[in-house]
Amino acid sequence: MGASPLPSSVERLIEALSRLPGVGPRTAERLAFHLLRTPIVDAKALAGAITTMRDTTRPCVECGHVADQERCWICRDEGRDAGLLCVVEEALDLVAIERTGAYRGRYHVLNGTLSPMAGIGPGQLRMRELFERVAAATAAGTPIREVIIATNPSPEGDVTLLYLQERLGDSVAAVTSMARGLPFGADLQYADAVTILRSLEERRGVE
Amino acid sequence: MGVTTSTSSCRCAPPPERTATPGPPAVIHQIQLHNIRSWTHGTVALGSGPQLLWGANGAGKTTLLEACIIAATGRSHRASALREVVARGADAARLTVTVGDEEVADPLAQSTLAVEIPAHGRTQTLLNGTPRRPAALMERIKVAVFVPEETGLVVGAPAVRRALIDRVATQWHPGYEQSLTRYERALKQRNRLLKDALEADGATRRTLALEMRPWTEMLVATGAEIVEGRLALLMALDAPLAEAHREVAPSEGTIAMRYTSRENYDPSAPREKIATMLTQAFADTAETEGYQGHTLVGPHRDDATFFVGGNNLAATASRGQQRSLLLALLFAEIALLTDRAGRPPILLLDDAFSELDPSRRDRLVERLKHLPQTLITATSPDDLAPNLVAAATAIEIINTDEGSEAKR
Ligand SMILES: [Zn+2]
Repeated sequence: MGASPLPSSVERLIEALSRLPGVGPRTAERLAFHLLRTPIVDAKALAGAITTMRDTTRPCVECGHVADQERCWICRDEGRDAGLLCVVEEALDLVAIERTGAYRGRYHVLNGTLSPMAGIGPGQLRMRELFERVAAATAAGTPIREVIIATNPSPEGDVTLLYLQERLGDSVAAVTSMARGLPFGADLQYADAVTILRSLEERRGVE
Repeated sequence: MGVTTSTSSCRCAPPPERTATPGPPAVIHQIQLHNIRSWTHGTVALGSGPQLLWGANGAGKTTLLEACIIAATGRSHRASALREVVARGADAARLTVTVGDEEVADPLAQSTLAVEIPAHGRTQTLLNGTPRRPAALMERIKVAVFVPEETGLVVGAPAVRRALIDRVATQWHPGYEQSLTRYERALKQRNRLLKDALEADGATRRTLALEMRPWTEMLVATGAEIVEGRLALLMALDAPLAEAHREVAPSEGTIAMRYTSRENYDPSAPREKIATMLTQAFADTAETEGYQGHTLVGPHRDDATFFVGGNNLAATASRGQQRSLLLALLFAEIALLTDRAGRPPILLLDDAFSELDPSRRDRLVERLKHLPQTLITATSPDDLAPNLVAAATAIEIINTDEGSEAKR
C-alpha cells in the first residue's frame, strides 16, 4: 500500500466519523466529502455546535439526565412526584416518556444495560447511585413508593430489569415494569404472530 | 414475582395444528442480492415450477437459496452469524425476496421481504419497505430445504440435527425464532460472565455470581420455550415422518425421531415443568460450569436420535438408510409446513440430486411435480434427470469480474 491519496486532515475526519454508531467506512467517506463541499460557515457551525454542547452540559448529579446545571430541570421541579421513580437505559428514553406529558414522577438514567460481552457490569452503570437514592429517600422519611423499570425488551434490558428487581427487593413498596405487546391503536389483523402471542401471554384481568 | 416480564411463563396452549388465516404466497417472483458473498448486485427473476440454477462451483448459486432461507427463518444454514454473508469491504448486505401468488402478476398482490445486514450492528427486516419484526416476514414465506450440510444428519454432530429442528420449528411455531435469538444472546453473555469469574478473585466472583442469576433466569425461561417448541414439533412430525418413510423405504421398518437431553424430558411436558427441570439442571451443574467457564446445560446441548425398527440409526445406518431418512424427513417437512400454512412451501434443493441414488431421485422428481415452485442448484443440467430438465426453467449463474449474475 502506498501513501493515502487524501490529505491527513481528511483521513482523520473519516476515521473519527466512522467511529460513530451506525456509520461504516463508506458512509464516513461520503459524510466527510459532503462537509468538504458544504459552505464553510455551515461546517464551522457544526464544529461549534459540538464544542458548545460538550462545554455547557453535564450529567445531572441526581438522575444522570443531560443538564446545563448541577441538577437537571426535572429534578429541580418541585411539582414532580418524588415518590415515583422511572429507571431508563438512556436519556433518550427519558425524552420519549416526557413527550407523552403524562408522567409526573422523576427519573433515573442507568447509562446502558448489563452486558458482560461489552464489559458492562453493575459497576459501570449508575446502579449504586440508584440504590443510594432509594436509601436516602427512606432515611429522609419520604420513601419512594414505586420504581418503574422501563428498560427495553432486549435480553440485556430484561436481565437488567430482573437484576434491579432482586436488588431493590424490600427497599421499595412496588417495583413495576412497562407492559409489552400490541402497540396501542394497532389492529389485531395487521399484527404479526409473535406480537399477538406475547400479548396473549401477558394478558391481564379486566377491572 | 412482583414484576411481569416477557420472560414470564406462558399458560397458552401449544399452536393449533393449522392456522385459519390464508397461507403465504405460493412462489418467489424475484430475488435481489446486494453485497452478499460473491454477489455485488444482482437480480434473478423466477417462474413457477422447477427452477434450475446451474453454474460452476463458486458461481453464487447456493447464495440464492441461502437468501430464501434467511428471509424465511432469520438465519443462514452456512453462517453462524448473519454478518458473515456481507461481501468483503462492504458496509452492509441486502437481500430482497419478492413473493406472490403463483399466477397473479399484480404487483399489489406481491410482498417484498427485505433483510439488511450491516457488517457491524443490528440486522433490519422490512416488509414492503417498512421495518417490521422478522416474524412478519416469516409469515409470508415457508421453505422446505435439502442442503449438503445436512447429509450427515444421522451420524454427524448434534449441531446438524439441532439446526434442522430449529429451521423447521421456526417456520412452524410463531415465537420460536424470537425465543431462540434471545436464548443464544443470553447464552453468549452468560458464558462471558462465567469466563470472567474463572479469572477473577474471590470477592469479584461473589459479585459476578449475583450478576449471573438473572442471566440464568433468562436462559431457563427462553430455554423452556425452545424445548417446548421442539418437543411439540417432534410430536407433530411423528406421523408424517413415519408415513413418508414407509413410502420411501417400505422394507426398512418403522422410523421414530426422539428428543434426547440430559434432562430426559417427557415428550408432552408443559413449559412450567421444563423450566423447573432446567432450573434444577443449572443448580446441579453450577460448580462444574464454574471450573469449566461455560454453560453446560440447556437446549444448546440437546440432540435428537433416529430409530428404525427399534434400532438406533446412528450405530447401524447404512448409506442407503441414511438417504431414505433424509428424503423422508424432507417429505415430512413439506407435509408439516403445508398443514401449518394451508399451502405447500417453496422447496429448496442444494445439490440434492448428487446425494441421492436413482430410485430416490425419481421419488423426489415425482414429489416436486406437485409443488408450486422448487429452486434446484446443480453444476450442470446434465447432472439431472432429462425429464426434470425438460420441465424446468434453466437459469445459468456465472461469476464475472463484477460479481455473480444470472443469465437466461
Ligand atoms: Zn436530574
